[in-house]
Amino acid sequence: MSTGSAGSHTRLHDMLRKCVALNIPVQATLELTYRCNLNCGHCYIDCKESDELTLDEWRQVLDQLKAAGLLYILFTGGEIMVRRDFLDIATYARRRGLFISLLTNCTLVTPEMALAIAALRPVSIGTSLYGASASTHESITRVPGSFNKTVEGIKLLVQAGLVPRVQTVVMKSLAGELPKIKELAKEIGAISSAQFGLAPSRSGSNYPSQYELSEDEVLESGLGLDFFGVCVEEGPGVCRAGKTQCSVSPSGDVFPCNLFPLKLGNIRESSFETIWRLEPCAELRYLRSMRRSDLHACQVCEVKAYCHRCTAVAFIETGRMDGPSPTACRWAQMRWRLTQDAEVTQCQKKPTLNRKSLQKS
Amino acid sequence: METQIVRNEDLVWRRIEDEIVVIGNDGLAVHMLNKSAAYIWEQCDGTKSPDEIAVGLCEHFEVTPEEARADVQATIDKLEGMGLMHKTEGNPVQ
Repeated sequence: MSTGSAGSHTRLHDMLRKCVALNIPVQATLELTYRCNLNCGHCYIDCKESDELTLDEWRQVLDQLKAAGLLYILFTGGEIMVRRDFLDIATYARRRGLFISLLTNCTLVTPEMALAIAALRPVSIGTSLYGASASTHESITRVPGSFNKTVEGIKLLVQAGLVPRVQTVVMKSLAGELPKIKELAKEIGAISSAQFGLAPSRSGSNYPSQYELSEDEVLESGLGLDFFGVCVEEGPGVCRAGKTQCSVSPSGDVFPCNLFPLKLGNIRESSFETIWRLEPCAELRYLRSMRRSDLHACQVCEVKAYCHRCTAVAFIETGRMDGPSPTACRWAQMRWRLTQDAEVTQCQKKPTLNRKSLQKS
Repeated sequence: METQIVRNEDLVWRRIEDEIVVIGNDGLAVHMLNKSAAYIWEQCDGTKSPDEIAVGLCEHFEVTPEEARADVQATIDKLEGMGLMHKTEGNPVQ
């Protein structure tokens, strides 16, 4: 009789693999609202949708998702705490035996709310710092005073016994401040991580890329290849969106993931079971059927080993799920160049890759 | 008084086809139970003794009563050791 002897990480991986085969949505991103009290210039949410599911409707969504196999929820927005009933929704989810994670800018955290959140035992709380000083952070959030509010909010969560993760997207204005941000996070009791790359907006606009570091700035940043992502030997693959992952928008639209603007249906018009399992639309069926070998252009790309292609971003950029993503191509070339620079620095073999062919791919 | 076995109430678990996945309070520790362990898990609702569960196991799987009793005991010991269930004393629910 086996109760599983492998490590927890392996078992989680095994479970997810099985759920992929069965299209069980164990992970859901619930966008409670698109309203936000900050005005971040790079934010990918550029829709003006103000229609929002009520508390009762969210409870029904949670019931339906749980019945479909949901285990893990990420509550995000907008800013989740601008909804006065955010805690009611999160508490209901927890009582239904679901694990919750939160993404919040922390500016609206009160001592009482911090304690209430801690009582829910969230798996993780993510927040963002766009600088180690008010001037840098607020040049992105475009709201005076937001830096201090975020820092104070993080401290309240820490006092309540939680360990928030400060996530920083590396942008032009703050690349040099990463060590200071890390230091600040540690000082206030949080952990920190930084990531590279900005996705286009939900509607396909490329305005977020104006904040992205250029290739030369990446090289000058001194952040190194490790920071920008490891190589993927087999090249880009397919993700779990539409299989184990789904997303529900503030008004009840169901998507394969929160970055993927392929509307599968609306929870007010059809049950989740109908949208996800009984009558999946043709696009969802295709997404689920996609294999690595279906990414024909990517398979022959010379920098595929440096590519972290996102199907959702490819779809936003080109309208195709199986085509190349210009953003991913750009980043893959950047990683390739970093590798070459590292090799030159180490007096290793001179690169032989043809840059013109890269640009064509 | 008879010893019964009960799953820890605050654990989250789901059946995925013929297996059961049990997830720890942190949401990260994952335990996978195979077909027979999953059967035993579902029976451990605090109303049955190990012997009663073994009888049920014989009815659902091709095992002898001795094998079933040994299987049930080994599984319960293991799951109890992992903090996923505990013994309780009481009269079985009629």
